[in-house]
Amino acid sequence: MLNSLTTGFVNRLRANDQAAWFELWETFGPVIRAQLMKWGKGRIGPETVKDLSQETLAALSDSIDRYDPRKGARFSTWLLAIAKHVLGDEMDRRGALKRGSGKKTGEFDESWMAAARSALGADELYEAAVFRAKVEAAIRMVQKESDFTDFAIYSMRVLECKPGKDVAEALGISEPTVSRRLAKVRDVLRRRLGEVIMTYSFTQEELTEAHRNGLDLNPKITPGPDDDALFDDSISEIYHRQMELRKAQTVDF
Amino acid sequence: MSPSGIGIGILGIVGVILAVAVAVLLITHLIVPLFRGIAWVIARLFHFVIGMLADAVRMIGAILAMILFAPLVLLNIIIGRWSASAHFASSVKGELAIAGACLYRICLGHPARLVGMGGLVEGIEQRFPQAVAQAPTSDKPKGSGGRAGQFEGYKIVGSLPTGGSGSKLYIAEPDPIKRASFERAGFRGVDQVVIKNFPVDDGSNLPNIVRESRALEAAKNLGLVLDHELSPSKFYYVMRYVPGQTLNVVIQQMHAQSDPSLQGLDDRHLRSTLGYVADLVGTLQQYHSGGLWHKDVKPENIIVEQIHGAPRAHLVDFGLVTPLRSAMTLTTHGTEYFRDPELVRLALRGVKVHEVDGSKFDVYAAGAVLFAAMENSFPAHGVLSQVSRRCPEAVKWIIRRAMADYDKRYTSAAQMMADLATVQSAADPFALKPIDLPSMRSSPVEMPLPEPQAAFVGSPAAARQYAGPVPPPFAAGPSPAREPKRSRPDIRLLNWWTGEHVVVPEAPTPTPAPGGSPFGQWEQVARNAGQKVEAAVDSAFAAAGFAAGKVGADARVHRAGSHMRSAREQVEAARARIQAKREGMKARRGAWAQSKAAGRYSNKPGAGSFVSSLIVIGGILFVILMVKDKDVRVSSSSSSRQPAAAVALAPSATRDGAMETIRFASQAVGDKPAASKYSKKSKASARTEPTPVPILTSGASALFVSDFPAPLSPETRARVEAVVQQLRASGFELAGDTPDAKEGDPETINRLAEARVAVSGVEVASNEFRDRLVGWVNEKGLDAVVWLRPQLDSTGKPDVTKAPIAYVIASEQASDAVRNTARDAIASALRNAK
Repeated sequence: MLNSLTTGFVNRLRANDQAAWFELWETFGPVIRAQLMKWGKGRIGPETVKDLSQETLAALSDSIDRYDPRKGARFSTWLLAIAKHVLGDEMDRRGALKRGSGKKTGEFDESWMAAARSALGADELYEAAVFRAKVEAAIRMVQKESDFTDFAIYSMRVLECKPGKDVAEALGISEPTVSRRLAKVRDVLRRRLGEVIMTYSFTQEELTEAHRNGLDLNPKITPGPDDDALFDDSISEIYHRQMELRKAQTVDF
Repeated sequence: MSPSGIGIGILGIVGVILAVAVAVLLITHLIVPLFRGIAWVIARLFHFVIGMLADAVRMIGAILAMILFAPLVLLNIIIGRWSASAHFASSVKGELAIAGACLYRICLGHPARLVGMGGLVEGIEQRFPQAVAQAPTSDKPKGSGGRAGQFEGYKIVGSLPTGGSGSKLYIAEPDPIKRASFERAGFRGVDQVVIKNFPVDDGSNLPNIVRESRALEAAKNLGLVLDHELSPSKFYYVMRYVPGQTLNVVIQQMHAQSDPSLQGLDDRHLRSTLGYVADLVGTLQQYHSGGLWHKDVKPENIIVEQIHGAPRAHLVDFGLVTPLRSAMTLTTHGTEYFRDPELVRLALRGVKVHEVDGSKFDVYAAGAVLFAAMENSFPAHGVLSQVSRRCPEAVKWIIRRAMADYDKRYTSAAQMMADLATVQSAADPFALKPIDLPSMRSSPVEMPLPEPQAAFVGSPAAARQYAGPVPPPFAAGPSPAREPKRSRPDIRLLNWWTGEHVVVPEAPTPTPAPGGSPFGQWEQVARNAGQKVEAAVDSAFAAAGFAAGKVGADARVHRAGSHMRSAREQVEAARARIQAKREGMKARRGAWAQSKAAGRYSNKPGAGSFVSSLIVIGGILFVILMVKDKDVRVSSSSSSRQPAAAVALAPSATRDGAMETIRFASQAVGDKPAASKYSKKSKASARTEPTPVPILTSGASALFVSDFPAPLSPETRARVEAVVQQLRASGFELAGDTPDAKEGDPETINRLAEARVAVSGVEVASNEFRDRLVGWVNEKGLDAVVWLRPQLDSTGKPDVTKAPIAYVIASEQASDAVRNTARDAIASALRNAK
């Protein structure tokens, strides 16, 4: 089932909406980079990974018109396939540059990918990373939308796992205020998360990913403390994993 | 129930209550503190172990890095790339400092803290480095040398890594004339400059040149650029040189020098970091006030300079500097992680520069730099980046606020500066809460621009005294209040030596085009004042002993860089150039130029080069020794294949458990004697001089076994006798196959037979041979067996012309002295009897 938001987003991409492309880059860029880095470990450096991830988006822009979500393929899987071929082209190019390497220049060599096949894990890890990227995009949207102090409270309380008392003390406000503002941001995040998942999800299975990851987007009319705590914990865990992924790409400070 | 029963029951209840109370008291006052104490000790031990391990690994890493850098230093010296060599040498120095700090902590710091003596090392760790850093540097004589002539008025003394724009960066010294012109323009104390050159025929492309030249005028207005030249073949501009390391290197060093158990910067480095960022924000404030934004703020573009021991951060590289009111379209230039994603988004929408507040993008970058300094890593997560290392909550808040969304971050650099200054002035930054920051208490603060000050903040003491924004690094040359430019005539010099010159007559003044040459206005003034100044110039020349120049009516030469100088300046410039060339020649003839005064660029060898040389020389010696040792082994092992005419010269002994094997390396006459390999002592005995053989004080009993077939040849007999005599002289009581043994002595025959039976069927010198003989010697209560065997020729028969092989098999009870004495005695005897 293809929802209207999804259609709208793909249409924006097809219409070469720069903001949509940037949004896509911001959301999926780190995941693609991580995947390229994993495949090309020991063969390509961080700078090449950056270039290749940009080339992947360039290749995507060339073929976005051919994408048909009704065929059931996930957008993220499609993107990964493009990245795979971009990396393959790079490896071929390098092979061709090596004189006397014994490889034919026109041959598509996928032997480099065999070594990383176990790491692919039938794309489970990749799909998990894609889902985390969606959550991160939602957090970023909330950050833009929320009041600075409100989001700072949410960040300190949920992302940095500080006790409410410490947050209240640091900001000179009462604990109930902290809880109230936290709930405000949480509600917005729930809504935005739903939108982001609808935007970037193309199959029914993707739509249920949030629930599988402990993010109940449609809790009871008045969600209880347990629901909120579970939601916050899940967000915190996803955020920290995403942070690790980003940090892994920036080892050369 | 009887009253007594009730009483007993009550007593029982009271007893139970008392017991519970005592138990609670015991738990709260004894057991809990006890467990706390145990936990404290465990935590301390844990910190100690983690700290030791971390420092050990870090030290090894630093040593490895030094070993990698060292050849680069020497290689660059060899191929004459002095600047690169100095660069690598400074890296070696940095690694050496890290290794030293780690070694200190391993040997003293961590153990002292473990036993609660942290105060003992406080002085060494905090006050001592601070005092050393603040100590005045020595005044070394000024060196000379360098290239002159490439850039008029400058002598190149070094180079810097090439930038991404295809430009080349040179470090140069202005000649006295240039220096004087800088002084007149208000730039005082310019000893060294950086020339950013864009060679059109060597990598620079036109867009880069156009972009950089566009920012040039704005940069000149701020006093960032001292001089420039733009011609069809050449484009360069001149900036003040700031010696020091980039902030990213400094950050790494600070984190390396901080106690690993702290998981972040220690207090001293935290204050230094805040000082650097305050310097940066102060500079940005100055940019923004001047109507510019930097657009490429990142640690690599921040140089930390040591001014009289106080570090100070300077923002450099204004290749992307843009006027805030520019009508150009926003571009995505910048550096990832330090560039606001919102900038990219706006640029992709085609927003114009003047439609946004560019200063906010600089503020974002400043926050990112602060994050990088605290975390020792990139802010990879953008606005969601989280500081996980040791960091005051107020600083985290500043980072969060600076990197917040475009419309939520600090409205200006001044506002960020106010928050930073509050943290800096706090006695304990960790006690400061975000609510205490000025930005949280009130509406945005617009702080006035600071008065130029000589020094700033890097040191904690200065930070505490600091209560206002930081002056920008270029405050030393206050561009807004430059001295008024003097009017000078346009003079053409005819003979630089005699001073003959002509003053260009007043010509019709062309109206300067708006935005034209920056010198247009000056030229106009000069032309109008030409006649008046002529007389003054003539009189000045007369006073200087020069003939007054003849004024020509038709002379007018426009030459870039010279048409605006007075004749005196041109003469002095020419003389200075000649003098510079002479000095250059002198310097080239000399072996090494002397070091320059501290704080200035120098590519001469320093401590880093010295350490690198030591490492490389040590490495070479090690390799030589290894190769030599290998040769000795090869020689020793191949000795048995030498011809029969070879002469045995040097003993070689090997030890295999309880068995010593002494053999002579037989070498052909004329070859160098082979050295033995078993020990220093044996190496000494390898020399031809006789060496003293130790004598056993307590004596030892040994069985002497000889495998030489009877009758013995005179040569063999002499050798065997020598061995026996030497052994006896060393304190051994020998029995067995000695030349003086009684014929048919049953006891001797039995002993020899038992020994031979013990090793019958076993290959001589094998492990089993050794083990069996050791067992037999133990059983018989002897101290050792000395077994003498002839060497075998190629057919497997005994070759009595060669020196024999001796085996000493000692019992388990025998001391090392017995074994060593026997070995040395045999070696000595065989050598002397050769």
